[in-house]
Amino acid sequence: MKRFATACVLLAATLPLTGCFGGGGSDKSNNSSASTSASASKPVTITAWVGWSAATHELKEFKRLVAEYDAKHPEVKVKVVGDIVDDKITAAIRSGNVPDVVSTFTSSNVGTFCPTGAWIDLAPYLKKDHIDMASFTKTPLYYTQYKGTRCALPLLADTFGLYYNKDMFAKAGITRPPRTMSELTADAKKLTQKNADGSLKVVGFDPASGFYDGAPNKVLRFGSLFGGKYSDDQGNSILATDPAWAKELTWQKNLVDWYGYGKLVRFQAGLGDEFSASNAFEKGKLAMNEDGEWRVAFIKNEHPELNYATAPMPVDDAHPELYGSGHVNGTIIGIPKGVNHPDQAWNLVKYLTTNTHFLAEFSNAIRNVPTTLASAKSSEIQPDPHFAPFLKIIANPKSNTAPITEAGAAYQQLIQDFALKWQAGHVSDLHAGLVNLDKQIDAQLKQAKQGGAP
Amino acid sequence: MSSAPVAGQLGPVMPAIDRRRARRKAVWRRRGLVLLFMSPWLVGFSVFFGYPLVMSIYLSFTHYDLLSSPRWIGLANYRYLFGTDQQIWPAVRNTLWMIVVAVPLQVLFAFGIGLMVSRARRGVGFFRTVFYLPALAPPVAATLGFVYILNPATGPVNVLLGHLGIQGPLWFQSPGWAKPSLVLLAIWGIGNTMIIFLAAILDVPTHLHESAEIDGAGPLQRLRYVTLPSISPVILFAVVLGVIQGLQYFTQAYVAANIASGQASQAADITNTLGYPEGSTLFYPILLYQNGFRYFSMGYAAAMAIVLLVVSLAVTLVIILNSRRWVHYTGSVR
Amino acid sequence: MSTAAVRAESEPTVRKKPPPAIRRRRFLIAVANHSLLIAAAIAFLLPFLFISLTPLMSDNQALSAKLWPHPFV
Repeated sequence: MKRFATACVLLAATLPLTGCFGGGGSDKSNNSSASTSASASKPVTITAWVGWSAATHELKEFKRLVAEYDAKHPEVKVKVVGDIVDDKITAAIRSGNVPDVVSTFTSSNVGTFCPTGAWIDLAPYLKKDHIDMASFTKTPLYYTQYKGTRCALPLLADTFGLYYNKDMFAKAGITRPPRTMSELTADAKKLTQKNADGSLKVVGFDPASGFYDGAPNKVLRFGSLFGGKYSDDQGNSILATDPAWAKELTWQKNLVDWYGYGKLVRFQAGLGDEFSASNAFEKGKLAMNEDGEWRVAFIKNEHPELNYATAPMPVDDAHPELYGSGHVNGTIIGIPKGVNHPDQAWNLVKYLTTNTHFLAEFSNAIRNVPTTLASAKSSEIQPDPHFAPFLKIIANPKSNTAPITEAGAAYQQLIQDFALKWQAGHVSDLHAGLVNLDKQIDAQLKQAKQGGAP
Repeated sequence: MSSAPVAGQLGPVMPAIDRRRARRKAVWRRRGLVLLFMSPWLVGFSVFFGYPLVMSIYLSFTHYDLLSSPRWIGLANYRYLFGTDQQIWPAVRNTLWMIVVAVPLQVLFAFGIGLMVSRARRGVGFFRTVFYLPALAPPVAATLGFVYILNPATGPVNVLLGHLGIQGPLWFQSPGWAKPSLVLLAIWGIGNTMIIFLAAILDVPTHLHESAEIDGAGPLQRLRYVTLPSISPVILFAVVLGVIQGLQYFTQAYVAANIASGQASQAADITNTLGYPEGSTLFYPILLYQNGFRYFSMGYAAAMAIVLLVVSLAVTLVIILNSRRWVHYTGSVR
Repeated sequence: MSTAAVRAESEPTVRKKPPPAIRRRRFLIAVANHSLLIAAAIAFLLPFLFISLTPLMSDNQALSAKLWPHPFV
């Protein structure tokens, strides 16, 4: 009897082996063409997953403009789902239960989405509809493809500039925004206010990594302002050999140390969430801030009384020719593998990425930068003096973006970890640290290519 | 062919071979019944434990990015884990720190509070409730609450310390204080263990206490020679449970890192703030999650999981084998 | 069935009071025990108190160092 019971348990443990090789990772391609019949009396419902959040105005605006598409195309009905993150997209593709259109802010993940076919190759659709790639702005085209496979299209881009509080500038006697890093540092020090007990009340400019940081992180964004290059022709990481990075990190740390690292951390801890109405710049706790162009819309919705202006970010004193350029990134949109209605999905993607009216209106609403030349010049764009500098930044030929690799955003995480350690004063030799960082990034990329861990 | 009739047997006499067949059928019928009753558990076991375990072992030898089929790469993941990955050893150190510091403190506090409650004359029910209540708080909500309470600028703890003239530390914002803050959170939630200790302390036979008292033992000696040995099985249970929980420590560190870094909003999933600050809260399970779900390397995450399983088994075995020296099981034969 | 047993059953058992020194010591130990318990109970309850007060504060005040909601929203 005991042997029988043991046999039962062993059998139960080995049963899974039968399911082992049939399961995980099997491609469920249900590209059913039956669903493309246009003669359907009921409109076909397609689902679009986007990253914009219901907690902000952005999702509302997107839905409003997609409703116009719905009205023009009675044969489809678009269901928009917001607050989507990459984890959900990956889980959906893996399960085979995918939406028709996906969109994300993490453009660096095309390094994984494109080669694996997770987002389908759009080249045949682009050819069929004779879409000219030259109609898109240059830099966004880079972060929507990987090694020639184009699995995404840009849907409005982001670029970063300097926001400054005009009232505080006037009070401190500063007449124009800083154009070089030394001017930025000097202005930041002049604009900082302290409480009676020595703690920080208003910070002129907070360059600290990890504070209101995003993807790409501050080190990468400021690196462009110092003219830093990420890799050489062989694809090796050159953060140690390119002097721009050491210069940038040293500048960052010097300013952080001037405030006092502990004092700055304490100050940051008491600030509101970046994407809430209590944003520190909007509340007047920061005199200047480096932020994305979307902030213009946020301020208009949350704090229209704020007296502020925008300008390109200051650049390294040694590279004045870089002034006016900036870091570019943006939203990408594509069609996932296993989609139910590929043709309708493509029609929506085509509309969202090339329709001048939609792009212009959406750009007005959420104040992101248009990604086609036609929409950038469109008469429907509502001019806004706060927004104008960003349009110039994306047109600047020196503007660049972070490299895309098979390891996705993993290398950015390594850089961020190092920057945080450096900023806290836990790295004694900056150059040796950067050499080690390069080694880590190269090893990570090698593993991702070979098929081990990144 | 009919055998000799057996004394006292009524009815038709069965041949020997038929008797054997009938008995075997009966035995198999009984086994079938056993299998039927065991089937719910068997199904649950294979679906929720057996299958994931076998799949994890298989995936640890593959490169699997969740989007395409797993690709066999042999021991490459393990080689990267033990050789090249620079993030592993800090994660292991953090997890070990948590086990070495948090588990003894939790057991100590649970025992201490249990002891005090057992001695209380009035309001025992009230105290028991108060100390058990935090254990009922959902881990995410509790961690969120603690991050705000321990906010270095505006949290009540630092404000109170400021009134006393002490400048409070940076708690969750400081790499040196982030783990102690998590330990404070863990101690706040010891209600479960405390109840078990309380029950065990009250279960110590009074005659042992009385005979020790008669022999002239003071309260401390009675604690050492009567109470502790009597509750030693419970101490073993608390230690083993604490160690296993420490090896799997995930939720609180994940939530605390995200909230403390100020990236709790939509930006949180774009950036990766796990381990904030400076990797001090990057525990082994968190690194596993990061590798599997953020970096698309599920094969490597599976390898990490298998290593964790082996280590957990080893550690538990060591503790239990070691326990024979100091654990006394009263009553039952050991 | 002896008379002694019957006598023992009919008389109520009287507990002898311990000497005053022992009683005082036991009382002090109980006081110490209870004070520690009360202090620990307060420490365990304070997070709940703070968490329940915060939703009653305005957004601005939640981010500041003030502890009591004012005005009481």
